[in-house]
Amino acid sequence: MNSPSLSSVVLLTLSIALAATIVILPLGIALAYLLARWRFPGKRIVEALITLPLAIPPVAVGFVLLRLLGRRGPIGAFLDRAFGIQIAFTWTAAVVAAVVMAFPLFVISARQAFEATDPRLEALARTLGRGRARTFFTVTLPLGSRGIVYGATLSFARALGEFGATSMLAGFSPAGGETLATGIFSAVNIGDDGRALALAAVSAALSLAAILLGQAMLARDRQGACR
Amino acid sequence: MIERAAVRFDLPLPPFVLSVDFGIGRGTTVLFGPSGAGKTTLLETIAGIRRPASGEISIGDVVVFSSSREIDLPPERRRIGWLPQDALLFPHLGVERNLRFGAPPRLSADRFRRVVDVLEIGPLLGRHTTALSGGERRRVALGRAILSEPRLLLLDEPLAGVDVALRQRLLPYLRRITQDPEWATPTLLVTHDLAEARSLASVVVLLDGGTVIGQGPPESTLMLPAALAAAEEMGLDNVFEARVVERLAADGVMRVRSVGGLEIVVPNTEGRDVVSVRIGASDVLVATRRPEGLSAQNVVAGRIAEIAAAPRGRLLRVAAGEEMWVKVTARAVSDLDLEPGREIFLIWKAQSSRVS
Repeated sequence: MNSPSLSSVVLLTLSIALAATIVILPLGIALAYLLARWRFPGKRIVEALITLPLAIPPVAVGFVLLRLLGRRGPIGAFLDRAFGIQIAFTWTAAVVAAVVMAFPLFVISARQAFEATDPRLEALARTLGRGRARTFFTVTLPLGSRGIVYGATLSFARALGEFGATSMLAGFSPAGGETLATGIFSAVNIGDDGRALALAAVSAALSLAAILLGQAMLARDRQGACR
Repeated sequence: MIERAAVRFDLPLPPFVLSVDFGIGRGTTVLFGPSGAGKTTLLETIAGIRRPASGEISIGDVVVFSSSREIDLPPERRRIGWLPQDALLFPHLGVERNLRFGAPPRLSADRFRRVVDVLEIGPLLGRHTTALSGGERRRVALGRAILSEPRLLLLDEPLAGVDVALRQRLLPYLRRITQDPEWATPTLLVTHDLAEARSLASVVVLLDGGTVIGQGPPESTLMLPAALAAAEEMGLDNVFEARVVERLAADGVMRVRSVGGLEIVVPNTEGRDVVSVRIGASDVLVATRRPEGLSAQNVVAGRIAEIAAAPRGRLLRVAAGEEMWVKVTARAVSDLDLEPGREIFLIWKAQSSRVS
């Protein structure tokens, strides 16, 4: 079997990481804000569940996801029956795996940012006539933007390199292609060290680029603050 | 135009229940009391940031909170301008965007200009908030509160932690904002500074342990023992601005003259011609005859205007060019036959006054 081209590997990996980050952003921001500002029953359990993927082997996470989302799993079977949607071993499966694995990193970072914001600034915005939603978008979110950008960068980089959960839920060739991580694994398996090295180098370069981009956005954020 | 706001509520606030009932008329109502009396909490409750257990808060005809009628307007619908103690500015916005943050969309350029001019913040408009001094931050925060066109203005210690010189500069702004008929916004101002309360208040509400213990015109209310005790707790000082007349560098002192004409000797500070002088009320001695052969360099004639009871003593308000507070024992008052109208001499060492 011919290995997929380097560019197709990069494109597939980027599309998965980007989609995962896009999914994580709204969900993660909402959850991070909830955890930072509200007290509710079962909060500790929610916190523990969110951080769980960081604490257990990614392969185990992938296995649990496979049991849930596979065609015979409770969620997978329902989706298949009701909508004819199959998740396991598809591009979507790779995105789901990346979301679950990168989500905790984002929530931790965004939550810290929200917690570091003086809640009196939000109260002040409300006394100045802004409702809860407008206050969130004009005060809370901009003030937490550093943590959000940082969290998004971390999540994106994590999604780029995701292997354990992805290989369980999406297989080694999600959507018929390879991600950088599964590609390295396959190349080493067939003794193609040159390809493995090339993919590793690209992987490192992409992660570095993501982090530099995040830093540049933070720097622009700092300068923009005076306008 | 709003003529009156009424505040009546109970808020459990260990170790006491904040239980208040008072009205706020036009002009400035000063909320005076020791720290921990519940002053800041009271402002936050009126602003809608805290929810009382019971009671009613109304501003003009609008009931903003009523436990019996289950009304609890969110802060954004109360139209209350809140200036927190540390003059919170939005750190992600520049000065102009901070100012316009709560302003209605129909705000005229004229109105904006007027507020900016009165507060003298025009040169700051293009700046970032981190580049502002303490006094500038307070003026911007005050301007932002006013531009939101509130029904009621809540000012939490607007001059606390500001050095004396800056305080003297900020006071006229506050007076203009709160007393100028053009703004005419009823204002509730928290302070524990006696001079500030006297200078700004139309009415004083005295708060202690979560309860209103007196209210009325500043002249009488601020002379109540509880008011004086609160003032003393924070250190009752005489503070005024003075111009350097002569420097006696060899002795480490200088002669200064206050706006009211009081000429005294204070520690020398190089470089500035106008200084703020602070003399503790307990650092001043009283004599009924002009003393002779004294090492102290300040001997000032004055007349007792008022004698008030204070914790562990009496407070004399003395007209001596500047109005000065002097703390003496009850025994001194009876032994020296001190009474309002009597001429006395105030004595203190140059080095016991502080200059900034």
